[in-house]
Amino acid sequence: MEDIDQLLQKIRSQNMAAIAHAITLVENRDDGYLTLLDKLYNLPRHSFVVGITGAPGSGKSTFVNQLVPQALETQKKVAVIAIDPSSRFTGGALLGDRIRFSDAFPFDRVFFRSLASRSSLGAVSSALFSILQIFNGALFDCIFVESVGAGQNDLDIKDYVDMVLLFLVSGMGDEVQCMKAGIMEIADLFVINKIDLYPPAPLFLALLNHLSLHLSSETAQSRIVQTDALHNTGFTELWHTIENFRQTCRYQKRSLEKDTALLLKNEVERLFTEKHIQKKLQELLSLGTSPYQMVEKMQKLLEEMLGDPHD
Amino acid sequence: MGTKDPQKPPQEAIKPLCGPKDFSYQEKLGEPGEYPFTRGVWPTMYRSKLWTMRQYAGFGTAEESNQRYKYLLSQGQTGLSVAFDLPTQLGYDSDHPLARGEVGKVGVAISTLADMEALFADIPLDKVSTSMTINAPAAVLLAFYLAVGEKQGIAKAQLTGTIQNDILKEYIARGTYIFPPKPSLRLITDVFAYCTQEVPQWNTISISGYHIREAGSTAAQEVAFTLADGITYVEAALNVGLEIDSFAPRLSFFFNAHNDLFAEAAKFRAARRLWAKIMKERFKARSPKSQMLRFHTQTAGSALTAQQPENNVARVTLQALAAVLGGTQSLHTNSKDEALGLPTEESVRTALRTQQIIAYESGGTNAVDPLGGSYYVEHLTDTIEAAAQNYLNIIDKMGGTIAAIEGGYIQQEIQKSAYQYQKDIESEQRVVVGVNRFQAQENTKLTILKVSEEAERHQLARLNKVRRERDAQKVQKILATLEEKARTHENLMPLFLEASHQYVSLGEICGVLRKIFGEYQEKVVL
Amino acid sequence: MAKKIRVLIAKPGLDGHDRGAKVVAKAFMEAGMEVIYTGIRKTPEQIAHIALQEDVDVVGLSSLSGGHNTLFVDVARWLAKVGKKDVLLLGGGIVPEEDVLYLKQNGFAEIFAPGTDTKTIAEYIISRVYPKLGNE
Repeated sequence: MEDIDQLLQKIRSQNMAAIAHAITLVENRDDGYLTLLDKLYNLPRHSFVVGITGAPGSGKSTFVNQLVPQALETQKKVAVIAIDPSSRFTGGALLGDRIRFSDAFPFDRVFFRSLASRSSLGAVSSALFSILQIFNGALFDCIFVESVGAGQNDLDIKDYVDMVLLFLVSGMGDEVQCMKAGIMEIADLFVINKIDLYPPAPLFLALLNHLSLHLSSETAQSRIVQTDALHNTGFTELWHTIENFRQTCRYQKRSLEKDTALLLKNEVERLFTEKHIQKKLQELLSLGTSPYQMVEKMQKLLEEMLGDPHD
Repeated sequence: MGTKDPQKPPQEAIKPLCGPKDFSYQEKLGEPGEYPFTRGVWPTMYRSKLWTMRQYAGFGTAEESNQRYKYLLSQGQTGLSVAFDLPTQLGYDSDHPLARGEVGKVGVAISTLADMEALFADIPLDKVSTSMTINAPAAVLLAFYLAVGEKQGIAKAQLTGTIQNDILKEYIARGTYIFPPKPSLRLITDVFAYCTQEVPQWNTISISGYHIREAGSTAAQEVAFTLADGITYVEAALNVGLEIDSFAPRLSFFFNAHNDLFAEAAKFRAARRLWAKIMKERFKARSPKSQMLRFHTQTAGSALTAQQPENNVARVTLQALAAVLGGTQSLHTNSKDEALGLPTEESVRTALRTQQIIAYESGGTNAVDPLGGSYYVEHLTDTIEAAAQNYLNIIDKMGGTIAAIEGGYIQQEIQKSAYQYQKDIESEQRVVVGVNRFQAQENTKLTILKVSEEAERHQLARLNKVRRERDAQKVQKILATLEEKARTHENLMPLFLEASHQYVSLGEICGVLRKIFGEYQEKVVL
Repeated sequence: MAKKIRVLIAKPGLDGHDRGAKVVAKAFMEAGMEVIYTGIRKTPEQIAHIALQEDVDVVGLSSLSGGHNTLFVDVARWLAKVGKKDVLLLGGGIVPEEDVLYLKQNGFAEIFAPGTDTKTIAEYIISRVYPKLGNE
């Protein structure tokens, strides 16, 4: 077993190898990981965490590449976490976001880590929550989390970060897409990308109309930023907007209750992918004839495990 | 007509028996030397003139490469083909930090005119044709070559040869790009325009499928993506106001010759026919010279095996024969030891002899397009042409080649084929003799040519000397002018030539261009 | 749950031939590994830092440009310099036999020649890394 105190100390002193190793420890749930996380969780909050989400192809990776140098002008240490899906068949993953990440950033100030989603969204979300604790413990000033960019996970990201940037490209159907419930509510800032390729006006108007339902038109328009990641325009303004947000809203409120619920939800989801649970479920399957019966049985099983909800 | 499914192992995708219904002579073939040039670009082909035997060579210092060229010429080779090292191909001087360990490794290091002068010492440039595998900084290296010519007292109009100058396949397959597409195309059209006026016998581009195939594409993909690149160059030239029949006759192509003898011969025929149609129908080229696809061929490096390397001589023979039966204009045959390292002089000689045996002993040169009319080969020709046409349609709908590259489409298609090829070998659906079947316990040991570490030191010494002795003020002035003109639309070739004579280095010129043009960011698809 | 083998596939130097690197990356993914590919034209220093941050178990280098004796060994040196320990260092590409010996003396566990079955390499990695991870 690792000497967890020593590891913690190294993380606190920003030792890159220790940070990298701690992430693996947490991802793999190796011996001592809970001890480490217990200690990290109660440290004061330092990192400002920005979640970046949007459809695949909207240019998220290139975008992070342009945002990092802006952040480096005022922040000492910046981390980027990029999540890619694991193959459901082989369990392997090709983590490709690194390729688009610039070589020019100083390695002692920028830490980039590729994460595979592994067995379930619950697994990666659980790991993500814990990895953010590690970077916070290492006093990273700003952390960018680049999500897979598909589905439920994008809505969930709100629970982990202090601010969500939603990436949109005009003319790709995002006008309609973004009006859908859910995705609009989680975003704090809307970035219209690739304005060099597609005229942003229709998307801008759609967003403005939507936001104006709740916000003054002045606030509403300040929440929409236009960029062209390929030609590196609009990023200074974008970073200022993020800084502004950080100063006015600061951190997302957290509580023991909220974080426990979050972890528990992930754990349940992850548990369903574990081999022995899968085996148990298979056993149950031989007993029933319809999925409704099955689910009812499983619910009972869960209730037994977690206690009676009507207590 | 069915299209060949690139995902299928070769045999199952092939029609086992073809008959007279599979082709129509008038429409599909025509006479050799006539539209659509399926049977060859000249009426009498090798009866009148053999292909140019051109072995790609270059390593270490300019002096060592110069020795190898003279050796090859003395052995009956008829054209030179210059390989440059990676720093040169990427526009870095030999003393750049990124050049460390790479100087003189895959080719000769050329940083200034002084290196180019040493490379062609005692080789009269009006007596040889020279092909240069150089792309991103092709315009600058061409300027160096023209300057050597001027110093030898040879008029530019007398110079013959080729620069590869094909940036699109660098983005797609080969990786030695520098600038983004737009300024890269500007440099290319600058060369087109300049050479049309000043160096009329020069092949201004060699649009290359070779590396696309080496990256793992199928034969049909090789044709498709190469011609798609060609279309883009033609469009770029038309966009800057050049007239189609003024520059199109100087466009040349470069293909791979892989193992499948008949499919490869058919591939060359398909490419010729498809290009002729594109030039005539799409671009309204009237001159037959604009419509004819002339090409260089190199045998497939990726088909060479490190196991039992002597088997490679047999492979190269079949591949070279495919190129000849397909009507190539020039040919490089690989040496048997190239999966292990740089070829020795002895193995290069065997490779050259292979061509000479095909030319003088095999009888393959006695008739024009000897495979023409074979039901099977005509069927393969049609199949490859149709599959390539299908890709061209897709690329057009995607908004053209550059859009398809920037979206990662072309790279992705090639990668799929490359992965499938590897899987086929590992599952033994594709047999590679000596690798997955008929292995030997002990592999033959070959002597490998090693580039001496001395080469790098020697090269750096010369570069230092040049930097000390040239007129620093003139150099600065030219670089300042370049910075200014790079921002305009003015043709940069005359300035490159002037810079060559003042011993401004390749790295200095490309440094200014990097600053103004920016650098290309690769789109990687996994 | 089974721990994942993390592999960095990197191309040091200026060589742009990435067919082998990409095929291998995909094959390793299919063998259940988490694969990070750097893209072309990385310096040994960059590769070492990436290996450190990604905390990989394996670094696989590919080069066809003949610069391996300098570039591969530089990567080994930089890995030590940045403090990346416990890493299985592998090479692939056109590497003459005498250079293989030299590389093995300089930190490389194995050099795979062109034509090596990707399954062979994957099995080799699994046999070397699994005991370390504590997987069965």
